[in-house]
Amino acid sequence: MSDSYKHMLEVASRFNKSVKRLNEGVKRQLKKMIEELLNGQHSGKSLKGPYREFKVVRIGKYRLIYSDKEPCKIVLHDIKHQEITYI
Amino acid sequence: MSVSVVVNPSPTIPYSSTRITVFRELLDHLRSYVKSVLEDPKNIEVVVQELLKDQNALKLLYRASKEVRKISWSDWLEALKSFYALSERFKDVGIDVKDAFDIIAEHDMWKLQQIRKNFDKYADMFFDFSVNYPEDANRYIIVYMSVFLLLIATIEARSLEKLRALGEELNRFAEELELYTLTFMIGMDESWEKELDIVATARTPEELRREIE
Repeated sequence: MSDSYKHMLEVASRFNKSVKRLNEGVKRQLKKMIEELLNGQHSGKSLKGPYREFKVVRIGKYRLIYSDKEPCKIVLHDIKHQEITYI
Repeated sequence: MSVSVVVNPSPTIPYSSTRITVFRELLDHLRSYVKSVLEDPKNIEVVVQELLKDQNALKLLYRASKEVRKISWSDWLEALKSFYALSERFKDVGIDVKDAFDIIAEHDMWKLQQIRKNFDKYADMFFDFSVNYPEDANRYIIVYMSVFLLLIATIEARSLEKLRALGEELNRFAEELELYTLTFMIGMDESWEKELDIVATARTPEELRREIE
């Protein structure tokens, strides 16, 4: 168990779908960020209003949305790509 | 017959101007606020608080926002090019504002798309947000208006020192604006909360690797 993370990780279906669309480079960066979250080395900023329990960290042009409201547990909810909409 | 003359210190602004006139009136009206921002960019929030008490400024902003909705998409794209050209001003001051400009563009273009394509749903979402979370809604207005004034001040800035200070503030407010962009995007996405069911867990690097790959 010595290589276990400090926190337990849970993965939501939305995250699972989003991660499949990422290229290998982004996946590597994402894994590093998740490990930092799981080891308590990094913390994101809270969203607003009804979603304030969700936090965001930036990974290049991607934003990882997660929550940590329960002790010792990180839940990954979504990855959103930053994009400028052209109608 | 005596006639009493009432001098209104804040005359009502007529609603018949063309788009260009409205924008020009707005920029003229904002000149003193922009000057204050240029004097001390770190004081931007105080300036915005003053602006939000100015009834004429609010009327002009309201009229300008209505005009903005009528702008053609090709004109919007031109405006977007000019907007990014503004970021070039920061090249010589050692401040990277690229992310900030992308965040601002993402926010405005997404919002414009919602207003044009999903106006009722967007208005409902924003109304609920404002009613149920007034402090966050108020903060959003401060953040959004700060970005707006900082961008105008960037056009007017004449020294590298001022530009640097404006760039630092733009970066700070853009970071906060992004949280609102994501909040509103999620608020408009009906499927979002339906897809938060937990489908996997991980405790070790090997388990994490399996989930990411």
